[in-house]
Amino acid sequence: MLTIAGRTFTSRLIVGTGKFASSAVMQAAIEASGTGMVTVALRRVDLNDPGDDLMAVLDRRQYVFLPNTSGARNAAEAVRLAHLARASGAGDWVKLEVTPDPRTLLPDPVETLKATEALVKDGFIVLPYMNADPILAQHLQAAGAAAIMPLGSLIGTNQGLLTRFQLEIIIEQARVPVVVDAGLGAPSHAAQAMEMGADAVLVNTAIAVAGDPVRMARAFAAAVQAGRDAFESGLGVTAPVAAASSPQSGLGFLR
Amino acid sequence: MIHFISTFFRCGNRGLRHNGRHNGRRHQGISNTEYRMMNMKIICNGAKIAVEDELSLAMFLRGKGLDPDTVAVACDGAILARETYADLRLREGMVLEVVRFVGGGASC
Repeated sequence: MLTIAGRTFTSRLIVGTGKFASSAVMQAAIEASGTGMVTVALRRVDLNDPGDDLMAVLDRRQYVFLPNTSGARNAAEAVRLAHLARASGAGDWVKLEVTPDPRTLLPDPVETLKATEALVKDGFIVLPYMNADPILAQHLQAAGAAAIMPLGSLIGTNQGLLTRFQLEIIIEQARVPVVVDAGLGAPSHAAQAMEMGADAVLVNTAIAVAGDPVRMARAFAAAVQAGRDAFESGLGVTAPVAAASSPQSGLGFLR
Repeated sequence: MIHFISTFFRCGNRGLRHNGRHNGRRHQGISNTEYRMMNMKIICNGAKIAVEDELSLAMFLRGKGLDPDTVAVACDGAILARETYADLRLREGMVLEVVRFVGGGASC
């Protein structure tokens, strides 16, 4: 069971709600994923065309809402977004994102740390999106982050775990859950992260833009479970030369 | 933070006082809207909007097809507590920001 800030989740897959073709598809995919936590974004309401109310589409008794601070370019904007999210009735959870560069959407480490400190002080449960930097991970934990969310590769790029060596160090040193976020383009990427010992993964784009998002959500759920089972079962060590799995004795009849 | 709190209370108190003075003329339903003078203007999400005098924030939101329980509102820069929506009267020139959750995973 995954536990973050004292709350337990049966699924180790967290699903983002962006980019789905319709609310109905999103709802079905999220249900198929088996997740207990979904990320959401906060935006101005279009008064002329309000559209679907996400809080009416997704049952908050079933899913923890993890509002992100997407769009924030610095700590002050992220803190303001977090407070607005709390005022929207989503509770105290926040996925902290501070991404000043629209081309890479890389998280600003300095502003992310500042915002984490401020939001923890204000009583938020803070899950910062961060580059896969083991030292920064320690600073964020010390600042009171409830979990840390290092990236596998750039958001929306489907490139998988380009940061795997840093992720291994982060996981080894972590005292809070590690949620690998961003860049997981295929179920095998999610399985790899789980095999490494990540506590959970967050997937959005790969599910939302799949030809069949509901089936892809199931595929990710199975991959996350497979990866976790493998990690808990104890994976074998890698070796440079062959190690036979058939007995090497009892071949006298051959020669 | 100090600015945040003072702005919040200024906004909230102004609405409440206003409400108290004119309590006898409070409107109870949006069906009344069309018969009222729409001569007051506020700015909401960047657009100038004519609203009836004395309209509460909660009634304004419902009139726009929104559930007051699923939006957050900043009034003149200060984030409002949900409990104040029903009693806060809109006033000429007020600047509102109404936000709500939309689908999102990471960044824009």
